[in-house]
Amino acid sequence: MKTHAIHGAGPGIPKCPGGLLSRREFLRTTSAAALALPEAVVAESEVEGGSIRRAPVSLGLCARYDFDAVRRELGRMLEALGSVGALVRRKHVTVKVNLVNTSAEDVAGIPLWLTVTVHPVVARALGSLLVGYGARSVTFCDQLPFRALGPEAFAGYGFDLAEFNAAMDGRARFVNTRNRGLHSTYAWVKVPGSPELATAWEVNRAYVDTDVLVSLGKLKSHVSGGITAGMKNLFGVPPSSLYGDDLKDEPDEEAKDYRGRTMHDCTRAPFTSSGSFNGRSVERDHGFNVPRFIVDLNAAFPIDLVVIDGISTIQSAEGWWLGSMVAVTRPGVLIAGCNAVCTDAVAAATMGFDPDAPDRSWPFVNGANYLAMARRKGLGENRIAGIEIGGVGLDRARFGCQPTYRRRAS
Amino acid sequence: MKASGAVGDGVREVWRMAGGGAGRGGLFAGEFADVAAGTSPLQARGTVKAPVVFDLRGRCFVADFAGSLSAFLPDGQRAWEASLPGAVSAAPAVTADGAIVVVGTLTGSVLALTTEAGRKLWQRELPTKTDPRILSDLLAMPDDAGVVASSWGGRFWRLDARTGEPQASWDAGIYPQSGAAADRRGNLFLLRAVWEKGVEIVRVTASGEEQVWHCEPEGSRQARRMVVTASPVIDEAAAHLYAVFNRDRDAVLCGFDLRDGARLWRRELPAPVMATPGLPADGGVVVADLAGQVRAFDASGNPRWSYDAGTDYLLAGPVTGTRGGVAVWIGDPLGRVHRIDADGRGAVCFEGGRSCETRASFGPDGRLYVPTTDGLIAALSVV
Repeated sequence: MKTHAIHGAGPGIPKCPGGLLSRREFLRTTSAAALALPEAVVAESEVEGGSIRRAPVSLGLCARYDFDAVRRELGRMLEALGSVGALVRRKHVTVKVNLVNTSAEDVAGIPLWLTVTVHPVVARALGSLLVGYGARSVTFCDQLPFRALGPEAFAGYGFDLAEFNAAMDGRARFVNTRNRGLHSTYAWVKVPGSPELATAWEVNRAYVDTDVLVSLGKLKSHVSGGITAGMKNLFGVPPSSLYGDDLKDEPDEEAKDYRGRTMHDCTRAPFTSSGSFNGRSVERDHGFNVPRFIVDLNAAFPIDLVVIDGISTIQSAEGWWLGSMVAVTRPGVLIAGCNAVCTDAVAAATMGFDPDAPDRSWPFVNGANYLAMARRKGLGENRIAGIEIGGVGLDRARFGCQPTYRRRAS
Repeated sequence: MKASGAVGDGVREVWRMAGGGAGRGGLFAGEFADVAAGTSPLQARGTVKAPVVFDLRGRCFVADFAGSLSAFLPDGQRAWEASLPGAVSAAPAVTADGAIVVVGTLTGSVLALTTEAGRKLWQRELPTKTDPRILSDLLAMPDDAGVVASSWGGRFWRLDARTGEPQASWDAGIYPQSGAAADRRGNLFLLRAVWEKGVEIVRVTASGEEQVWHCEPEGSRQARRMVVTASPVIDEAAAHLYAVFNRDRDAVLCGFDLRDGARLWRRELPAPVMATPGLPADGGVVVADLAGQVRAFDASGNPRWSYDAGTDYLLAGPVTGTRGGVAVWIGDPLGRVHRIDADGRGAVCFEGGRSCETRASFGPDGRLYVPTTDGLIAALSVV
């Protein structure tokens, strides 16, 4: 296995903070696979660095969480992207799954995987396809609020390792990344370019000691981010052990709580081994902070492939914690792409929203448009006219979702 | 109230609002279309999650997520189309005289347009300090005594249908999504979630007096998570009102005496319910739940049958009628319509495109209009 972004930081001070290669840079300079990606880089004057990335996005329709049906449709979509086989063949793949911070909840009695989290059938179908393309291993990760660091932590979300391995030739792994895990060190990953709020991230090495990073998200509205799909999914990467709400005044490998105070309210800095936030956040303004952290995470952890589960989900907001304002809905869509910004932009359009809408207008009504912000940093195109869309196409896939809740009247 | 009007060569029933009339019961007592009759589906501009409604001349009004309100003639031709300030999730309502259609948007606007030409008569923004969205199906009061809507501003508003002027206002509770119902005497009935209490069924008399008939107490998840989307339904003939109270992971169905609010019975349901219940032609009530089951109860609350729709959950409410015997029709999230007979045996009678998330409506032509989220409204001659 190759190790990218080799920022080995012991329990103390990171060895080389601020001067290390990003994973994308590493791929560019060392991996032929990266060159095979169909990601175009287009010059654009308003963009930081002068260029912007673009890659096709594929849309599919699937009404049920039937393994064969999901695998067939997702397979067609990945084939349409044209590059996934070359991307994963003989590679170790890490899949960041959107599972959120409890498995004991539901939405009006409907299970999490039909409402809030990625359905295990979609994850299993994706894993099966990646193995079919020749992936050496596929590691499914999220930080989960359980002491267990392996498959036990995933059981409550419907993820059964034996089922996955039966469909994946025994090449599946489940890793709870709420802390350092089995690694002796964290990875220290610099945010390239001009960071918004985070200059670096200190995370479980599962997200960097890998060849390919996949974001497997759930299609939902999001109160602070506008929507959540592939990019917002990376919010689960910073571990509770350094960023969690249950920390007192130092890191704790036993921590398992959410990152509300560090990355939403911004009333406390994380306990990373060196300063990693630049202090430009606005206390308690989630609409200011969350979109900027999304962009900083995606700049530091470039996603090679995004897959979005939009078969059954909720509308108006992202989780049960927002009460009865959320309601189940059934778009019956799957979305995949090799550029996270392009893919999330198409996801927003599929929900009936303008992915280039101004800040503090719907669907980004409570804050900044993270997609437009990401484009200005050159991470990807968010304007639909500039994105090649394949599969069933946007007209067939579009499905009206209620936008998120507006906190205050304008 | 279900209006009657001349359509074609006969007098037909006109469903002017979701569930047919102000009682929301979804029972079609008109003349069904000939089995051979069929037309192409109506094409909206976007996803449709609101029941379609009709006027006395058989025009069909379709509001969609693209922010469009379209009027279709009985032959399926689009008569006119109006661009609205926002997407629509709540069913419009047509006034009793058939002259005005009123619609509410996710951006908090209520608009009245002429049914004849789609000319805007007025527009009003419902006041709110937070989110303006209107999710509750609109209610045209009997005798045109106003149109009732609620928004996430937390209030029900009764507006003059001709001017938009506010006539009265009531507390609508937390994140209101349930449309109000009304009886023939002009009493309003509404469900609302109340902080630190639970879910209340409330009667508001024509003079504006509020009477809380029942409060289902909040559970461990508190009132803010008690889903209140189904409207109460009124059986005028039996003088009953039925209401669903969702709890944390299950629900309670209650029957009340419409005259004095006395609770007649109470039945535990194993799953919450989002969809407004229906009233079968042979009495009692039918509910569709979030576990994918349709359950029928007699007028005394005794279980009659249950039907497994074969889906994860049901979002659309049932409609009923007598066609080859007492029957129930309901759409599901897989885009299918089920027909269920009086003893609970059912089958899929139509397979459409994408999910069906809102209640179907019978048109004055006796066909069943089934909105689907791909923007098509299937017009079915049901058997």
